[in-house]
Amino acid sequence: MKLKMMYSFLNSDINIIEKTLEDTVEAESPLLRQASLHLLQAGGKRIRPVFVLLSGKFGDYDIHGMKNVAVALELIHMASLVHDDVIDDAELRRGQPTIKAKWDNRIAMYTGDYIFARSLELMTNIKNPLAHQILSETIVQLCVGEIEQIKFKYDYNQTLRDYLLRIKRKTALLIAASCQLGAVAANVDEEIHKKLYQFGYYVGMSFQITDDVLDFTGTEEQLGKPAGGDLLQGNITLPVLFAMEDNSLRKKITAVHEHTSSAEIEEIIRAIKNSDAIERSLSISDRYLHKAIDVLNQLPNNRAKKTLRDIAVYIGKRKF
Amino acid sequence: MGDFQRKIADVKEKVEERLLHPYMFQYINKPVLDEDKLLLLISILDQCKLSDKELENYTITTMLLQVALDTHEQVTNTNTNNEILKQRQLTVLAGVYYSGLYYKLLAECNDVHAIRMLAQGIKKINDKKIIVYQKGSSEIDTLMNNVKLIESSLIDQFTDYFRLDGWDSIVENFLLIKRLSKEKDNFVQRKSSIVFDALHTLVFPKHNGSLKDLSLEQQNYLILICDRYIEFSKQLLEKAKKELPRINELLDSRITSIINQKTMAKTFVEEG
Repeated sequence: MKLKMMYSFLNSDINIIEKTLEDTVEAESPLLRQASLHLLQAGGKRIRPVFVLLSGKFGDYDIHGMKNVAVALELIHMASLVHDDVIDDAELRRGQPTIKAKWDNRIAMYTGDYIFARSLELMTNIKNPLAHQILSETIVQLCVGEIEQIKFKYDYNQTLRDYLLRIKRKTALLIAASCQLGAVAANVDEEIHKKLYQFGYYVGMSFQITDDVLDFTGTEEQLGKPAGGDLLQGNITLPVLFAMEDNSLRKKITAVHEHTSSAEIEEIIRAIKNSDAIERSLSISDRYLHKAIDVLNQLPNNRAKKTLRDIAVYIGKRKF
Repeated sequence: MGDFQRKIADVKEKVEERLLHPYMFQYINKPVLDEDKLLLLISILDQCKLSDKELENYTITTMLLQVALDTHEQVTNTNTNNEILKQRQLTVLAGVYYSGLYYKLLAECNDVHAIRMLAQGIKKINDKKIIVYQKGSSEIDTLMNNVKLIESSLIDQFTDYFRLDGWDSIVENFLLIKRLSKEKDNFVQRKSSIVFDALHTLVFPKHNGSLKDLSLEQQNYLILICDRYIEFSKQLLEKAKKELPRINELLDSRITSIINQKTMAKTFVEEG
């Protein structure tokens, strides 16, 4: 089943989210409007708003309150993508030119900062201080995760723990916060919103590990960027850590640097794919997925619970 | 040191503590706090019967945001080698990190209203920054007004919220004079200025080249326009200062020194 089909019962609410996203980036500057819409129209899974809405279904769900959190989280994600493209000097995202490529770095910085400000402004429609404490801590940790990613580039001595902590900050915390904040905005009991946080955290970990595997196994067409990009950029992901347990492979991998040719990278990618590193990484992703489902099983039964399970399995097992 | 100076020194120290990030500082320049903005902000909040904690929180978070904005201004468009790329990457992240700290600090104090006020300021500033950068102002007055808002919108959020009559004019003109003076220096010394770029497009719409390609006469004409805006802002600043019922000694003397700075002398481009 396609992802969108899984939450088709939320379609009218998702349309409200899309409309609010468009309204929220309505700026005075025509170029800023254009850049923000370019970003919105590039699409994306809108997975964070979906998690917010589904988690809200465990409490007093009202789309007019929920949309503030759902849109704020998607905007924070979008702002970080705009800034990330400057960081990675990326020309393409989802097959479309990035804002920095279509305009320039300055426009990307201003657009990212504007979108970030809009997200916080919208979020302040939620008066519960806990919601802001959760989100602000998440934003800071997200940034620390990105700084760590730069710090650990081409560091072949990093450990599995370093990697897991990094992907926790980089990806899992925002998904965890999406689940928890949806619940907090719907006045769900603490016990349940904490479980939803755990669920989101495990799903986020599984999601990122799968993403890191796909960087090796996906095609350029599926990924919207060349395969093996992470390794070439010095990002040591789980398949690489496992592959380096083989001494001959370790020697080849540790020789990778900024100027390694694409032919050499392709050879290393082939070697990693032929090792057990992919399978072992997917098995760790699976373990996180099972943990997510175990937590979910402790929540009250409703339609949202079933959908959260379906989505978790989908994004943990996706092929691209 | 008087009470007021001690307040400034305390806040400055606390902001600097929060900015501290040993890894980032290996690669990026340590951020410089805009002490004039800090002085203006404390002078304003000092009139508002706030608790020491509130005053401290508002000033620390506003200055963190200002540093975040200033840090992102350092992200350039030029192609670069790997070492400089790392510096650029960390510059982007430093700005994001400081913005995150503002939100975290105010969230910890449950001050949702202040989060909103400052977010609205950031929103307005970036909207105006793009208009100025893309040369989208329809006339010179609009351009200057946009520059004014870029400089003052964060602090204006407080003067508006606390309904402090007369302070808007002080903040806006003080900061516009500073910004225009800086832009003029950049233009005269390096022929590189976002404001002069926009001014150039408005004044010489048919000129196809860059600032470097302007004739001496054209360059001096742009400087003259800039100087007139500086002079006019000085008059407004002086008037606003006289109309305020009271002003602290430190700010009073800083305003006087800004007003007395020579605008026209030796700033014109000379041949040879």
